[in-house]
Amino acid sequence: MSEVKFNVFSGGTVTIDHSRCVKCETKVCVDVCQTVGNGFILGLNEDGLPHLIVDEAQVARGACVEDMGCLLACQIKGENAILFNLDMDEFEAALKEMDEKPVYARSLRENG
Amino acid sequence: MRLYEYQGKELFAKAGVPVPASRLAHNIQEVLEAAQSIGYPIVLKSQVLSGKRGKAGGIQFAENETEARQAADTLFKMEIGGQPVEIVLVEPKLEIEQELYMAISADPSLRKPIAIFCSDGGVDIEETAETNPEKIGTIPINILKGLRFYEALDLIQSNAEERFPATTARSLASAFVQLYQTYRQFDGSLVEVNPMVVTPSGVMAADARVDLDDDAVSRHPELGLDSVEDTGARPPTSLEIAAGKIDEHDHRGTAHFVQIDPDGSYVKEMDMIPIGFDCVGTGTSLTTMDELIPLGYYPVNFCDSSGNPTGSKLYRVTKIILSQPHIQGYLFVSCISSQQLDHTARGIIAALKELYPETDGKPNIPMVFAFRGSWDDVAIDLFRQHGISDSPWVRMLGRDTIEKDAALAFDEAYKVWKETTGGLQ
Repeated sequence: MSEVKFNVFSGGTVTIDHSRCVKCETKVCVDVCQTVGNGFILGLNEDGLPHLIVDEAQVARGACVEDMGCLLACQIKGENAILFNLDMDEFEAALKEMDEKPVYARSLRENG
Repeated sequence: MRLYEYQGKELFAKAGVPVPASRLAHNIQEVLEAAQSIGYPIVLKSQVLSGKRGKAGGIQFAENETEARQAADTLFKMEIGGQPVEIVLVEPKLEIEQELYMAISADPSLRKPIAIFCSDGGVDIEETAETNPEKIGTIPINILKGLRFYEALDLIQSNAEERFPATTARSLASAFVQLYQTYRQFDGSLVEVNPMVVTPSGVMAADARVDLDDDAVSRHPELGLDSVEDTGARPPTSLEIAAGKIDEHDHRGTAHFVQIDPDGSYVKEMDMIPIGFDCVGTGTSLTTMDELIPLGYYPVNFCDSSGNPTGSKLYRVTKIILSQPHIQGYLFVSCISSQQLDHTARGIIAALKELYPETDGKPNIPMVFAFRGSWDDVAIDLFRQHGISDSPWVRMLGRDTIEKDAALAFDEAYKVWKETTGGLQ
């Protein structure tokens, strides 16, 4: 099964896994993109699956406004088919340099 | 962004401003090797970003190898303004006849750069401005024309204690023009030489202070600098460097992040509770801090995510804020904002769900989100839809609240969290 993958302006990629989309009844990613996302970059192809309706080069130069609406809507109203891979190389390097765990990785005391 | 003295002098040398011959040293052996190639007597200058370096003993002189070894040993054991001395600039000791002050700075009231000259150099210019303001001469610079040689010459001669000999005055004026060119070429906010010295062999920049516009650093890859917020008199932390990348090439809104207390030592000393912090609007940051601090909470970072940033900016900067190990809470507070806050909310939610996969985004520390402005109702509803606001220590506030409400809500959430969980291990 195919996938849609495109670059975003800030660095990184968005991937939409069509093997999950075929099970999706809502196609909420398209609704969200065309309502809250100012870019309107997603539509449905002839098979009823989400795809880019604008040129990839335009998407990469900012037509995708990276509001992440498709990602979150798909998680709770779709089939969790969307992956944002946003580059943060320096952040990964910073984590490796840290002597202590970042707060999100710390455990709560016994009451938790 | 403030550069080290040696970096500033490299830019000066490229522009043609006379600077002393110099070498960098990272240990005693390198100091001795540098001294041998330069020749005694030498001056050893610790390379730190902190001011008042001379008064702190960070500049030492040596007449011979024994003194050089001793001075280097002293310097490499020093901390100045909390920064360990790791680099020493070795230069010949100059035969100084006169010390002057020259700078190019920005004057916001004129909305122009200005050239500043004072015949009393080598001393604190702020002090001179207090005690002898008449000694400081300034002229505004038309950026379309640049600093003209004759303007610099006039500024120097009309503010000299005694008129300089023509050769010296011409050299100083040339240096001034070249300093201005450095300021413009590299998007400076301050280019300062204190002192510019007159020696028997000519004029020379004995020191260099170069501050660049933070937002323009990415325009100068040739400098090999990380694009970060101004961190004052200390080098940027690795998290600040990571955050600097967020805005580097993407100018859709901002994510300005600076650590106020990177190692948590100040908060510990003050016996306060460290928290992570993100605001829409710098004014809101300040007023929220004013409300938090009397309650015993201290934001260990500043972050301004405004100007309608993308969700992905919020996603990235939220991950950075929540990677600070010491924080025991997090606040997001928007001003009454025109930016589309549902985009902001989505970025934060995406980060929370990634960082806390086991609880589907519910955090392990207390959090308050105050969304006030465009699409604030949608922003709040998104937290409800994703179940994050169901957490017993998460509070959501809307447009009918003020900064004090956010601080009080955080205090209440923190107490619930502490009582329920005992806090972090």
